[in-house]
Amino acid sequence: MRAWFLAVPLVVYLAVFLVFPVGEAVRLAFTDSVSGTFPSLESFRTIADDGLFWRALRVNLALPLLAVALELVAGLGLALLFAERLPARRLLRAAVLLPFALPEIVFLTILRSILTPRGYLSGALVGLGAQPVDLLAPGTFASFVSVALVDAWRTTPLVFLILLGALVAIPGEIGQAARVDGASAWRRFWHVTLPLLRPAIVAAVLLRGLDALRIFAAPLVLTGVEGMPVLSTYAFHQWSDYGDDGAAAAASVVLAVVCVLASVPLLRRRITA
Amino acid sequence: MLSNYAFPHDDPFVLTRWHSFRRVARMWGWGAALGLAVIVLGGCTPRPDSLTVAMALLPGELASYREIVADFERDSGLRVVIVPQQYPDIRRALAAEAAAGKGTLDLVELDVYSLAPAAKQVSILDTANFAGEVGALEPETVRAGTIDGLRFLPHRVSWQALVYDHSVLGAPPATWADVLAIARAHPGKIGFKGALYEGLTCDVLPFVWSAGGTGAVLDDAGAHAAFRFFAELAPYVDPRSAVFKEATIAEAMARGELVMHLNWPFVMSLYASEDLAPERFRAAPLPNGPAGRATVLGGGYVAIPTNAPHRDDAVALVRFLLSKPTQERFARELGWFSARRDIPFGGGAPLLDGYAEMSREVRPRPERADYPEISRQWQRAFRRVVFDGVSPQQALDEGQATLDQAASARGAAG
Amino acid sequence: MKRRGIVLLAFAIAGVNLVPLWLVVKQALTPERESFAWPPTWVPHELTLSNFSGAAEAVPLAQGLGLSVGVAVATVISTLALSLPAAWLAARREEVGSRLDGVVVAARLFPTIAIAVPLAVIFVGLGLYNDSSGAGLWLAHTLLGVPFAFLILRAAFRGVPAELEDAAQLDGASPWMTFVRVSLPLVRPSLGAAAMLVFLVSWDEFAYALLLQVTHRTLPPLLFYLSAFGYPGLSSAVAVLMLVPAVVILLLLEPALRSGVLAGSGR
Repeated sequence: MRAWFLAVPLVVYLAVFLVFPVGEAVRLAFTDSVSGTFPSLESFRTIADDGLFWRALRVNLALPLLAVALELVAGLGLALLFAERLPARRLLRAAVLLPFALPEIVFLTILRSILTPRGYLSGALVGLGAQPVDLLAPGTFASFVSVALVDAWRTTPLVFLILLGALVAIPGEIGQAARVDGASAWRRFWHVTLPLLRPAIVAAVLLRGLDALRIFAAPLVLTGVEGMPVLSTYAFHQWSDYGDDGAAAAASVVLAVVCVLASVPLLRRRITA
Repeated sequence: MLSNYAFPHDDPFVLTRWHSFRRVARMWGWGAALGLAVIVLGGCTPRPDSLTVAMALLPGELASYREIVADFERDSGLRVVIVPQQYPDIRRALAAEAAAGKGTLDLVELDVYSLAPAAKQVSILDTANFAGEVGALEPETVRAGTIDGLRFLPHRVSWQALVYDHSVLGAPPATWADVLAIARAHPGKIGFKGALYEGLTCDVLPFVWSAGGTGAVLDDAGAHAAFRFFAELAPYVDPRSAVFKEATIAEAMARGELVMHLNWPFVMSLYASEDLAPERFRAAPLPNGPAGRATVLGGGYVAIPTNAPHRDDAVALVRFLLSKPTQERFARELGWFSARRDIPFGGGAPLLDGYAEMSREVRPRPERADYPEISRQWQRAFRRVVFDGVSPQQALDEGQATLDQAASARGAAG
Repeated sequence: MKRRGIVLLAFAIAGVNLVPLWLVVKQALTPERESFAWPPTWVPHELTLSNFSGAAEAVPLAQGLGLSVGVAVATVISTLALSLPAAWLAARREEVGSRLDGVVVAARLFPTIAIAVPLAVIFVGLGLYNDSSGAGLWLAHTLLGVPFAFLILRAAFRGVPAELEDAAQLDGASPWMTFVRVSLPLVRPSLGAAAMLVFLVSWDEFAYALLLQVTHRTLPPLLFYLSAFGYPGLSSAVAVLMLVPAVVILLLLEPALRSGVLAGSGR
């Protein structure tokens, strides 16, 4: 039966909407935005001369590491917590999933008013007799952590769901056998639970890590472009503040290359699996 | 395989155990029906007898502007659909319509800065249609809108003044020395619009001019004096200045995080609408430097896109917008300044006295083909001195060297 | 006691997660001046509904809402239309399935900005940039929706035994009738879940919406601008509008999320 035609619309659609834009991005990136010559490295020279681009690249490489680490710890903690018997389980679970369910832009704008120097967090600190804090000050380590933390807060529910799914799939007898052998709770977790969770953890790290590489809205809304730049917001800045399509395309081509390189381990897993 | 991890329970029947599904499906159906209804209602495209205009209006200005334009709608029988947007977005929309060869916009407002690059995308106006209006306008503003023929007319003119917290400072600073004293007394509470964009240049040029610089080169004595002043201020500048733009800096001030900054008149109407002005926040002239004071000419110009679907009606709307009664209402109700010589600045609103006082000190940006590049170098130099601690001498010299290099490269290529 | 500690911890985490939601609702219901108060207020001192009408006066909210709903509904329809046949095929033919997987995962992992910037330039040429009916945005959102719908539906079709379809065909039903009468009804729940998820993906989407539409905006960029212009009350009012469908869908999807079927959809 020639059923393959069923996949044709999808494949054609994806091809058109991935191949054409990528081709156009490369054309734009290698075109001189002033004279229109192609090929030209002028746009790459523009961004390479810009200190902001290099900051964006560095942040873009470091941010996913911190964000994913935070998510993993929080997600694993939550999964272990929800593997226990809890009262009002459904309600609690809905509350845990809530940050992920809020539209991203809603979550980020309210977080900005929480973290601004005279925001709700500083207000709470002052109420407790402490000093107000500015966690979004441009270029500071604090703002780097804030952006990672906010992104982790919003996406932890995903990691939580992946890990909880794997956790409840572990047969109860394994844990009981270990308990009978007299293993402490910590040793049981370290030597029994964690190795069994490994595939799910690896999957979560790869998925979320690749998502975090193209992070856009969180640094844009929380710190503005210059505060904690990443490649996506840098490209947006070239596009909207300077109207330089070539430089914007060049920066996004760099990001695309980073993403493709980072996804190699993922693709390798697919082949070996 | 990835999807196995993405779907740890690869068991579709998990969902069929989901008993509430019927209810869900019904709600989903209603949702879809509602959505379709909204599309049908919302999708009713503007009737042919309506004009679509894109104006850089602030959220707080739209209601008043609509009310003023209602007079035109009543007299002409046309409906005016106002799309409030920021200048860069309007510029993009205009360029896109020009490239596509078809358009929906009948009238656009652009900032002074982007008139030259947008010139090809708007029509040349027939001066005979606007004889009365053009005669009443400041000739300088008409000249700015003339690029191979009259294309842009000044909808409003605008410039920055000093916005300060009256409840904290009492009196505004009159000189650079006063500014420094206030900065020392309130460390971290002086703000600049220091993001990498044209707005930063509008904060830098007034100081360069006030020190006798031309603004067209980075290495004259005025530039050095101004940047030495920036370097002195730097330790007291709110570090978030590195990302502030007009709106964010205004918000920081509303939260009490700043005691002064430079901004356009809109912020006073914004504060008034939030009950924060004039009791708390007021506007004052910019402080005097060694060579007096100055501020950058800004403002919005209207133009008719080349692909405007209703050109004649748009011409009528432009005449209405530039007429004396309308411009008077803009001044009174929106606090806008008019380019008409027969309307006093600020419409006599005490809120804007500080701006009115600056009216004689307004200067256009350097008129040079490479202005965008010069502007970028001002932005970079300011940021290097204030945020990176680079010496003014070094930052300005390197900025000028970059400009010279670009100029000689152009010369060689040309 | 240890157990008491665990329960307390769970409630504390849930409580912290509720704070942003509470503050959005609070700011939406109090006058602008209260949102700027220092120290900030945690409960409303003065209640008002004026932020909702204020937001409608300040930005084209009705058009934004119409555009958001229109683009989201259209995206659901186009996404399902593209994904259903391909997902069925992928479930029935493993060798086709693994190849399709690769293409779909690539679409899921490619950075948005690297598509949005060139797509804007392409759309300018096609007259789809900033389209008043959001056609360009719809095409881009479909690209975002396809991976979710495809993966969910493929998993669902895998659960439909091929023997059922074979039996129907032996009884003389055409392949098309078999699909409509036998397979489709069995995956209806997953279809519903995928539809709701894709709706949310489009409804919440910010980056494409920011780059592809400039004067005809959907709700997320409108909210971003109101917030960036320093209107916490007005922007929170828009946020509440955006929240309603999102929270309703979350509650409806909660059982499916619990079962892990939608995990990894990582929007």
